[in-house]
Amino acid sequence: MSAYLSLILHAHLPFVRHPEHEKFLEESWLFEAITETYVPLLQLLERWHRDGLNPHLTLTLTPTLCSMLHDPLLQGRYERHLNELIELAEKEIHRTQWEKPLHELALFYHERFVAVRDAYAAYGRDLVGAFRRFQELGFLEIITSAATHALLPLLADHPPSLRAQVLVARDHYRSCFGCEPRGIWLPECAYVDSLENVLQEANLRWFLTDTHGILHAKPRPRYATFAPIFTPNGIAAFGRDPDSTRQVWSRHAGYPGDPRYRDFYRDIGFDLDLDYVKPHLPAPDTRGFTGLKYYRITGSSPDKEVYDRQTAILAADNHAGHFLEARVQQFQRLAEILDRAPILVAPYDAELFGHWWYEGPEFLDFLVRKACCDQKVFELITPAEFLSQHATHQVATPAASSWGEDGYWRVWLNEANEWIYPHLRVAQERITELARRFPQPDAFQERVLKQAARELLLAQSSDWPFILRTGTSPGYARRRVQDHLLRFTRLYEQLTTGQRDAEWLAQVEWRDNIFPDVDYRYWT
Amino acid sequence: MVAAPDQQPEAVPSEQTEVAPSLEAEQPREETAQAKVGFRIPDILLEGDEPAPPSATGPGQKYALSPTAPAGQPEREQARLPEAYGTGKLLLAARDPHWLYAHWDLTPQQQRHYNALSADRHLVVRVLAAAAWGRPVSEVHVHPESRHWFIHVERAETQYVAELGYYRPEREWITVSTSAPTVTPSDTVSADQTVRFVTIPAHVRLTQLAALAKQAVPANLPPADAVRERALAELVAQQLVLQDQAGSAVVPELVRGLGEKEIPLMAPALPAPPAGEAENVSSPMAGAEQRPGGFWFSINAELVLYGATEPGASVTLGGRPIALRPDGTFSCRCSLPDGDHTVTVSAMSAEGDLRQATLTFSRRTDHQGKVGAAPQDPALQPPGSEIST
Repeated sequence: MSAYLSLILHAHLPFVRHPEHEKFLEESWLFEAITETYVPLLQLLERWHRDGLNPHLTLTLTPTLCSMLHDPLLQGRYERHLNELIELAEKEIHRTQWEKPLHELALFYHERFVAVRDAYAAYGRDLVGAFRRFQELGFLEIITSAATHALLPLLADHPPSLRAQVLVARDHYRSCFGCEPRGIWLPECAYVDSLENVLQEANLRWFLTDTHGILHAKPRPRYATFAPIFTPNGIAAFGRDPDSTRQVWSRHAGYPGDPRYRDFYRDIGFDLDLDYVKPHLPAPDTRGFTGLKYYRITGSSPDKEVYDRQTAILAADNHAGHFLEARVQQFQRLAEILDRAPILVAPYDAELFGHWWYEGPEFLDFLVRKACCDQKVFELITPAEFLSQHATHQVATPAASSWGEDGYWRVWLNEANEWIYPHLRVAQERITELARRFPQPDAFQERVLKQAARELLLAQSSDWPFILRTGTSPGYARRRVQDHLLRFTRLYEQLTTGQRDAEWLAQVEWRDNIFPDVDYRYWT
Repeated sequence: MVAAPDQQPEAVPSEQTEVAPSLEAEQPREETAQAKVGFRIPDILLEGDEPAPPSATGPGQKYALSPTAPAGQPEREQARLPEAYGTGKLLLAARDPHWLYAHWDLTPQQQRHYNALSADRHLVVRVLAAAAWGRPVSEVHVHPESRHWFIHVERAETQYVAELGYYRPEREWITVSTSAPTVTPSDTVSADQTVRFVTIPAHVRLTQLAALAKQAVPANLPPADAVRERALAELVAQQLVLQDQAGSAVVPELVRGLGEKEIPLMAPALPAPPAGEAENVSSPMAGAEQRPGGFWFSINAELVLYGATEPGASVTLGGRPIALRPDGTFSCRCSLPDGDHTVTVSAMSAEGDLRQATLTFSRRTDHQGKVGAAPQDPALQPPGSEIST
């Protein structure tokens, strides 16, 4: 009997693009993730491919992330950012020449940044195309998500919004990858059964829930999360394996908190003289992360020791070995109980690997190599591959659930962010009203309808209530929701009052240029 | 040139050192000081009041821009969203198994108007639960200026509806608005341990399955789970017979489900069933039983009643009406457990002419050696009880 491990990485960022500013702080979310996660992941895929190792990896590339990776303005800004980073690393090589440990790290960073710049140029700035190539080679299954990563259960009282989030994402996936998506990452793994009609319409064959989404399914799942279930609509639901995720995911008990790993927060953007780092900061006059970090986690106190790269790599190797051994033992225990091939599904935010946990890519590399070469207990597989080999599963309806705090919608619906939903509700009803009222719009009306669709989709993103809750950039999140809803209202009024403002429309189209081919008819 | 105007923080909970939600899910909730002395303030009341955390350390956090929460700055003046739209609608959403979120869209003028009519000088939200719609399970007297409330409810997996309204001086209830229903999520493992399997080949489009399912489910009949699942199972088999000429490893399993007569000569052309899991499951049309290793035998029986009458007539079986096809024919399937069964079938013409037939069946099963009951569609009932057309 075989056993399977499915590694799923969820790469997502909200759509942050501000052509109206020369530099914009929150755009650094994308730039840091490209440098520390997306390009390193492609470099891993290149090496695995070279060495004949197939990771059977699953990767979400959300529509908002793909849109940003494709965007010429952001591509140019990323290159500028990277060049500034390389300049900063050069300055650091000189500044640290009498401090050997720091100097070696400055050299290390310089080498890495240059390699990333070379890779970015070699891919012709097109990281989406680079990932697509690995999907076509059979090394990767790329899945989609909701159009702007809306928390779908909170839209469930407006079915056209659910439909639009899923079908706009499906259409965008086709344009990016030239084929149909087979799986969907439900944003925040948030599921309610009313989603299923549109998943079925989009022919999406599988999704993932948190562990209790499967364990609380009706009827009770015979194989817990070790096998998918088919929902009554015929879509496979996989459940997150709690054991394999906890070891990697847990901030304190998990691997990333090991004192040998690099500390995320000690960055020269905060440590050194402001005038010195100023030209390299993500936003002028505001201290921020540069990406040059010289200290390891060390412990919970602010006193940090200098990062030692070799020791950290050794830790990643050890942790990958530990992870692998734990899975082998898990499968051996399961073999005594189950009468079928078990599958463990281990999903993570992709940005964990490299961006938040700097040694995450090395961990993945060791893990894939050990899994492919050092054991025969389990195989790596993608969910779609698993379903094509194993098409018979129990029928059950998963339970409403998410992978957020407490397992439901509390993170996205609480006193800090509840104000969003009444406004969204009105806008959602209005766009359906417009879509029905203008079945055959003239050219201007069609532009207004499409822009209204973009503004509503952007306002629905789960990232804004999430940030309002976690407090990392609450002012920005609040403004984004407000701006999109205000723009939506003005667009709505242009259609309902007949007062056309072409100049303003063009400006809004220029700012919020996501989904150029959005089909507003999905909201009817 | 700068992003600064967009960086101002708010008076919102600052949880800089909290981890991403997916990380938080792994962490046990910390007990509050109140809990340690036996009195616990509901978490919901503390939302927004957590103290500012210290500077962060360790691996990174989603969307972190600095080691500390951003410093406060006044928000730039600009157009603002309206306070309310005045639709009067009551939004109700289950946030988790025990909390509902209610929001009512009233302008300040509308709210003042209703407050003035209320004997309490404020509005009241009443929550009603399925199975007891007549009597509210909770009643919240809200602040005169509030437009939302988080409401605790007892029961997970329950449908709730809220009413916004007020009491007149004689405790007469006046409803201002009623919400759409919302269902609290389940928070426990299901007691239903039915195990049924279905085979869905990856290459069959779900939309094709759905189209056939609609045909399989009689019109006007709500798509109860059992009906839908049975339809799904049957149509997968149909799809394979019709379209999957190339064969599939799962086809033999489906063939068994439909019966050899319906799919003649298909099996020899198909690959052998895999030695793995397909052997371990029953027909996708029925509950699974694990088969023992080695030789085995199972058998079962079901009953099909069929007939025809004038298309305008009405037919009952065991007192229950059954649907006629447009040409006046009808059929129904029943299970046939051991025992004696009597069923009366009546047909009444549009003019009131009654015809009746009483059919009696008897089944007895004797086993020699170990014989199992072959899986049967769980939706079927014996003759005379529920019928399946």
